[in-house]
Amino acid sequence: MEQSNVCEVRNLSFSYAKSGFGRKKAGQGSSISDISFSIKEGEILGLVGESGSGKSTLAKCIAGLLEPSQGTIEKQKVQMVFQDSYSALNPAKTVGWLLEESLRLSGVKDKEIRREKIRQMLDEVELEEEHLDRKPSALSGGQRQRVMIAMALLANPGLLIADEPVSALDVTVQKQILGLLKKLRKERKLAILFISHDLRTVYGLCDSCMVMKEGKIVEAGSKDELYCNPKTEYTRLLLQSAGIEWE
Amino acid sequence: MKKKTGKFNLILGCILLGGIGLFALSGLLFMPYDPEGMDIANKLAAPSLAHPFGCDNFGRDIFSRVQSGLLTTLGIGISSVALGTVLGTLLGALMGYYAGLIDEGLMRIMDVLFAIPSILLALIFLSVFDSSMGNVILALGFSIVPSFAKMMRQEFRKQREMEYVKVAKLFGASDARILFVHILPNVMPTFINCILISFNNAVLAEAGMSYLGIGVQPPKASLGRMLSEAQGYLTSAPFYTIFPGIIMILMLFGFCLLSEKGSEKNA
Repeated sequence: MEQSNVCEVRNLSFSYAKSGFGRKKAGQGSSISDISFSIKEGEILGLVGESGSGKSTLAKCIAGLLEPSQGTIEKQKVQMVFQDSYSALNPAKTVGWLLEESLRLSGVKDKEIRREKIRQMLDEVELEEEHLDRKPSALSGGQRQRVMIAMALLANPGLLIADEPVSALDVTVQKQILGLLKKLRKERKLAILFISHDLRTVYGLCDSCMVMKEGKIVEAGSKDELYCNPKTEYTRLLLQSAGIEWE
Repeated sequence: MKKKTGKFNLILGCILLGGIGLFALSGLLFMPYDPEGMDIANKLAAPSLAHPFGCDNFGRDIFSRVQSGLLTTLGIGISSVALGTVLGTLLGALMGYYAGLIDEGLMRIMDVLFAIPSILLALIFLSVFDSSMGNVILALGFSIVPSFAKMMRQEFRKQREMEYVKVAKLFGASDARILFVHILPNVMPTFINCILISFNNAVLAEAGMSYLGIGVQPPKASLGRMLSEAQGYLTSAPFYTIFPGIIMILMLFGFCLLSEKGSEKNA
């Protein structure tokens, strides 16, 4: 069965402007060059690599937060879940406001419809109605990440980019959030680009996987291919350091 | 210990400003005499039951004049601060959020304005145009803008880097919406503090200008105007100076206490 692509990236490059002496400015990410891949409907694609390999830059390019310097991206609507849910949720607003804002900005004008959609979404991401009146700071890390996911889903994206969504959470909560992502994929046929530096989480969640190093994709393939039969030295090194045996 | 003084300041500030506010309100509802009605028989009459604050050099009731002067001063203060707040926030938000040329250009203009004392700017403005109430408000309002904009710029610059701004952008919020719906509530403490300090400055500046004779024109009363008129009678009729002076000091003190509370919260 052939599924349609929700996102197709061709020869994508991006480099940050350098300041005077060719050094990176503070707070800038890494550059990426010549990246091509596609994600199908309902697919979870893992993206792994060490920090500074350009994973987040790639994510921001696909989400449209950065304008690529070269290459094309054909995509459906994309939404993103960030690692640091504490700073990604506006501290001055309540959860209810944030969820409603997501709907307002995607053009849902009727207040009753917004309420209804939020109620359904709360069920879906397993939050309670009492959370709506709270500020993000009064929630736990896992709850905040659920709010982030709910906000993203209310905008009805074809592709969800999850940039290290569980790295800041403890293991039991990690498991719940990963379970939630799996459920969403199954129920909504949502495509997910899952970014992580943890190869074990990626193995448990993804269908296929890409390995990034210094702004390039060094290896890509289905999960079993990559984990059982790594082709490049770098992938082997990553697997080794994660304590995963491939033979 | 520190918390306690903060709370005490807040309460005292509220009481003072509440009292001043009530006094001003009482002026709207009831004034014992016409503040501009002269009665030469009572010239410089000492405080009595009929004239609780005494009478001035034209026999006008000082109590009624303080009431109406306070209303004028508050009116000028509130409208000029409103003007300065709107312009200052707008400029500060633009400068802080869009770094680069806009910021650099506007900031240099602000620096020039900063170098000249704002009361001098207002003086020049009022000597070019006539000193009607509207022009006084304009002059004071504009004199507030530079410092207000500079403070707000700093805050918006800080918030701009926050992740939630990126999120709002990702969801397709317009720049105006990001600035005033998403960021502004996060800079509220500074915002309120700016307003309080500006109000203090505006009231002081209005008094100073009236004192110099370019603010509110006679026979209209304002607190500063009254002080300038009273200085000739400082020894013969001290009550003429004392009552408008006390009201003014209490009001400024109240605002100071509140803004102090605000900056503590900020830190």
